[in-house]
Amino acid sequence: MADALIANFTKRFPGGAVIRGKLDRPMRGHSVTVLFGPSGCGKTTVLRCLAGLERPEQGSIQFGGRTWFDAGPGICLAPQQRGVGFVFQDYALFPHLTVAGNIGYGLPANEREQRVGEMLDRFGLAAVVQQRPRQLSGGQQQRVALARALVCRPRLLLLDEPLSALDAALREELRGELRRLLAACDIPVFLVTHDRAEALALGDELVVMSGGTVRQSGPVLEVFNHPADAEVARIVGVETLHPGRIVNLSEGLATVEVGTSRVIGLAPPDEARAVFVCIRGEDVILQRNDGAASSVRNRLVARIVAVHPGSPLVRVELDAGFPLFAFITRPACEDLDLSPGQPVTALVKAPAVHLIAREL
Amino acid sequence: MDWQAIWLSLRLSACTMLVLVVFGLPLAYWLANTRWRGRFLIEAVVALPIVLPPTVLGFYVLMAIGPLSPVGRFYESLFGHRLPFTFEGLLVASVLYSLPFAVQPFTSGFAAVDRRMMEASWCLGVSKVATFFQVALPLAWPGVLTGMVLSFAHTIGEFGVVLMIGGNIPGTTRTVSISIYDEVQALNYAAANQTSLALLLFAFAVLAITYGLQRKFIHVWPTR
Repeated sequence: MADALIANFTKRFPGGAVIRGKLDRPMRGHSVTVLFGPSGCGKTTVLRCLAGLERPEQGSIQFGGRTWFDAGPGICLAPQQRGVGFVFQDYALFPHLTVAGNIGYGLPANEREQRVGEMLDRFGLAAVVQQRPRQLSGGQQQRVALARALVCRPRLLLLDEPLSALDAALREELRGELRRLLAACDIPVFLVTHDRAEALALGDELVVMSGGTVRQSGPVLEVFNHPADAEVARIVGVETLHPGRIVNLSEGLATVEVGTSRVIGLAPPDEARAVFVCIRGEDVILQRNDGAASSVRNRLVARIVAVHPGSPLVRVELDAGFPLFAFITRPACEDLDLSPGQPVTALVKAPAVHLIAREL
Repeated sequence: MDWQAIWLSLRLSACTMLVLVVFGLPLAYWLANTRWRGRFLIEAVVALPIVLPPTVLGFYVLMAIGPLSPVGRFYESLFGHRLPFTFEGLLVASVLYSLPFAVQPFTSGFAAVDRRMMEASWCLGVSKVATFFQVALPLAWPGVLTGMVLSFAHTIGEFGVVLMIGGNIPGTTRTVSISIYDEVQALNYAAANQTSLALLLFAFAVLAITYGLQRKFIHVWPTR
């Protein structure tokens, strides 16, 4: 347990908001943990508590066997004592210092020149070394912020919405760059984002937060494909989420009554009978007329309610006895000549039907 | 023109400004950053000299530093003379009287600095004190400059407090404003006019230069 970040704390704000942070991550080697959730769910607060910028009221934070915070004896290490690199939203570069001044800011004078030089090479910033932050592009600012945070050799790197300061086109480009830069540092990274694509692209582990609490944590795909509850499913963006009731269980398959229809999915591990049916839009196949027999367990007779054009995927809203959403490509949509009111058959493989226990 | 009085006023203003920089900057930094709920009480105390008649302030300062108060007695035992009717006594009163004119602009200056600048510095292992000098102060300089200029100019123009604390001792406590008052009392209007005009032009020049410089950086006077 000595090599882990174990945090379990509660932070209260005067307005009544309560944020509960609960994390347990190994700290050896490189891994990116994404704190994911809608705006205002407390992700940034959790990050700030880890950095020592906010002091929780209860709980504790242990890092590698060292106590960073413990409400009991009233221990709370200052940010200076934690050895954490923090990359702020919009980067918070010092506007009155040059690139070199920003990167070397936290270093003792005798090491400054050499280590700043190393960082300039590593982050490709040698050409702008004498410029001020406002003269830099968004990408350069991001690299300066990372270099400044990493030059002090932190044991933990925290990034708060690192790409939100950029416009959409640049964001996509810099996502790749950020992933490469993060992969090159061999310390644990915590990254806050509300962007699904960012979470998928950058994260190894996902911590989903909502309403001030951690709802689920685990490997990114695991959480995206198997949300623990309806709230998490909504947050990670499962298109179809509808309450249903298991009417039959046999050989690991569950038959669920949902709306006026029935679907077959993998039986949930618990005893729940009341469930949410979660189906990702990408897992739904549309067919114009009922074709030959296939391995697909769920063949749902449906009617098209609406077609929402998008790029590259078209979102099709269906009534299959319950509201069902499908993502299909634009050419597929044109081939099928889909329009509202038409009958179609929706095919969903049983393993793509994810059942979440629902409290009654 | 009463050059002795002008020189005394300039010395008093410079000293007042320096004392306010030393004590006012930390106070302003604290006011701009604290989340303490009782902060408004300190703000009210700092702003008191704006609304109080100078005579009230002068009266209480006189009581506080006079030989009947512990502070006054302590000072006398330390330096062998009393505070009232000396330059030092005048300095104490001037510092209090000009406090809001320094601390309020200082506070606006610090409040205009994004808090995350300081937090970034702390996370890089730099102490709070070093952060104040290396990040907060350089970024808050428009407000700091305004506070320095206003406190200097305000001290040049004080009258009531000086009269209460300092009296009218040439070369020690007889400031420009007292000198002008004396000239008017003596019906010596030409001399009073000369000094008054000099003071008026000085005040206008100082403010015009300050605001002109700041137009580029921050807006003391809000505009649309």
